[in-house]
Amino acid sequence: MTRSAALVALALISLEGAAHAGRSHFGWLYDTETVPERGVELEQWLTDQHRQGPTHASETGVWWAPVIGITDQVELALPIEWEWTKSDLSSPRTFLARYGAELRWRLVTSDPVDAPDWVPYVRVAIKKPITETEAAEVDGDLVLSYTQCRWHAVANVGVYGDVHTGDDVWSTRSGAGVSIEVTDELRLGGELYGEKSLAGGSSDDDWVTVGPNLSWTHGRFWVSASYGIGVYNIATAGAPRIKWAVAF
Amino acid sequence: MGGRVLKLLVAAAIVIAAPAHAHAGGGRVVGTVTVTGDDGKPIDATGAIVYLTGFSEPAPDAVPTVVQKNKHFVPDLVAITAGQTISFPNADPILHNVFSRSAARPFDLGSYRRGDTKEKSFPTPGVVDVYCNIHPEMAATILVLPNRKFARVAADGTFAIADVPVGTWTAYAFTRAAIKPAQIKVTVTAGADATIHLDLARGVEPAHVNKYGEKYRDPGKYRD
Repeated sequence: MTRSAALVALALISLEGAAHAGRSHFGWLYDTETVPERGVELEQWLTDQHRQGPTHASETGVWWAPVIGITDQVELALPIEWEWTKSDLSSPRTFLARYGAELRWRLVTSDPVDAPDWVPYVRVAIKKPITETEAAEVDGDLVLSYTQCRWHAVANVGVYGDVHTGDDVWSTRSGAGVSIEVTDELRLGGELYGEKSLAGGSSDDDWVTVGPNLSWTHGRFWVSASYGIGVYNIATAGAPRIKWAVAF
Repeated sequence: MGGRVLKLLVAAAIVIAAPAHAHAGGGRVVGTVTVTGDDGKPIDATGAIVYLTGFSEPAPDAVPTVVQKNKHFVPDLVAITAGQTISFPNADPILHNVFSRSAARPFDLGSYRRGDTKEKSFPTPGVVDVYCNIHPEMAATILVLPNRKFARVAADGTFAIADVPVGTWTAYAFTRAAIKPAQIKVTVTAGADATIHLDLARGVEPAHVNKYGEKYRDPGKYRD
């Protein structure tokens, strides 16, 4: 028996495939998996930020969306978002923040065998803020992932803007992270994420965080989370984000 | 557990005996296969696959088809050469979601409707169990073999594999739900027939899970 045949034989000893460990392995970062054609996931995020700027703005957001597989590489999300906000300048309030549509495109095959190690991915979204009648929010991200054995890494670069008539606010966001398979269902890792004003905003809104992450998949359910520890302009309360979804 | 052992046996049978170079001027392997049911009585052997291991060959360009029709895969047992692609057209008026959790070749084709076709390549030898995520009664097995020397058993229980390279190889017979593959050593000489007989025992169809690794729940509730 040649070495290659022996390796194949060894690989075949585990004859039932492991569950995929989560469509996203990260909290703040976008990942590159997509829902199979005509598949649907109900996806939800819970985000918490406590800023250290002069107004001590805090924000807790809930993002909820059905995510629909248009093809094996393109999916459509229809998010609705709620927010709780508080700062030194305003009273606490909870409100329906925005709704919209988001298109995510994985640029290479999603097949687990044929997919290359490097996977590029693009997402674009347009959203309607509820509280501003003549405004729109647009955002987009370029994502690149790399997978090798148990290791999975991503890098994100994105931009988002509040588009008003003559009063636009543009910001950028970026980050990178790594996730390591611990068991068939569990992954652990870490990630770095930050946001920076580009035009029309204030540097008080800039922030950077780094922290551990995990993802866990069980059957049709997956969850991923990150607990961002303040690096710049984020209070010690941190910046956690948790995402979870159920597939149908 | 029995299913895992069986698949291990079949997979090992496929990959054991390393890819040797085929020798020119081969002969034929011919013979018969008998299949007994789980009650020990003979049953129809038509469609069982006989294959040889011990040498490798490149895959042909042909793209075999496994059709989803009347909530079944047709055929439900296919042998191909590693590197070949299989087409999975949906001929039913309902959606199907073809998938495999087999480590030899995991995939998920998503749900697609009548008239649509998806293809999947099978680059490495092994046993691939294919199911529908919507209809648990749909099951097929793909034998991804290291060479082209395999044949389907005819209605009279006979088979013939031509152009087999000279040498001593292991012949296997397999059918869906077989308790284990039948095997025998066969020596092929140039221009001659090597005759073998293989006895295969068929068990019951093993239970399987959906693409999420869960049992199918209330299977009649949401399907046609």
